[in-house]
Amino acid sequence: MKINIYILTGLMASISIILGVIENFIPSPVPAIRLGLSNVPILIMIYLAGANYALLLALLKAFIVPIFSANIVFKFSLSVPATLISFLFMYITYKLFKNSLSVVTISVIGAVAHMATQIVIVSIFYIKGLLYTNYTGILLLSAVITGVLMGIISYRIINHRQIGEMFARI
Amino acid sequence: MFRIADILVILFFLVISIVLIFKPYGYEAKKILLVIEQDSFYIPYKEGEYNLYSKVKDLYGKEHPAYKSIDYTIKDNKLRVIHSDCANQVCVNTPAISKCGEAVICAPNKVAFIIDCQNILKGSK
Repeated sequence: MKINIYILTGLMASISIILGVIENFIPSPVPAIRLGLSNVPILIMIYLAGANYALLLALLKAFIVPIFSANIVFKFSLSVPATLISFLFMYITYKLFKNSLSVVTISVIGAVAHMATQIVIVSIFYIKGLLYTNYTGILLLSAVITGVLMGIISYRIINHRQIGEMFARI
Repeated sequence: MFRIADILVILFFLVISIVLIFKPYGYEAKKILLVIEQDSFYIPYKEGEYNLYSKVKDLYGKEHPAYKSIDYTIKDNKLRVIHSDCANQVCVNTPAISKCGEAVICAPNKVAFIIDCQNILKGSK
């Protein structure tokens, strides 16, 4: 039955990539703020399928989404490390605290790790003075808010009976 | 859905974000810190409409041809980038800034206007 989980991982990766591309077109009050919709499938896979498949999905998303953006090199330099570090933080938190923390908090931790990684990369390689501005706080606040929203969506999907049963059958 | 530990963790991140937004970013007179790739310059914070290339050339004699297209304005004590020919238009779409520590940042083009009131360049040397 292993083939099924690979098909499902591919489907989830497709959803994540499509959401990642679509959210580039959603306007935000401050540039660089994203909803993080593509993080929802990664969270679902961590909870319902396991770390290996979630990592596979995260890698596919990190490498493919930047191809569909205007600045490929810039987006690659942010997307790949940010997605991997965000995945790492979410997985470690899930492993250590899955009984005491809910999916919403794990989503927030992932979003903050993702944003913090991007801020560090931009301040090292692109804009040296970024850390001296209040932009950092605005971006972190946006990560917390979007992390909560995406966490609630993930919670609803993970606790959906039919989706749970579908993953259990695989 | 939420437990006490969840609320504590989320509150912790919220507090850090809010502190970073509202912490004082210096008390000195406003200057514009312009970051262009590996260079950083101070530009006077004076009302008017300017072309970035000409302003940097006038003040420092340095030429950055890539930024000939960037125009900015300081009106009613607020700075706004009004024109850029880059693809993303991030800087043009950023709302006007006026407080210490606020910034207009276009990371893909490695350009940033930061309102500096704490002598960042002096402090970093």
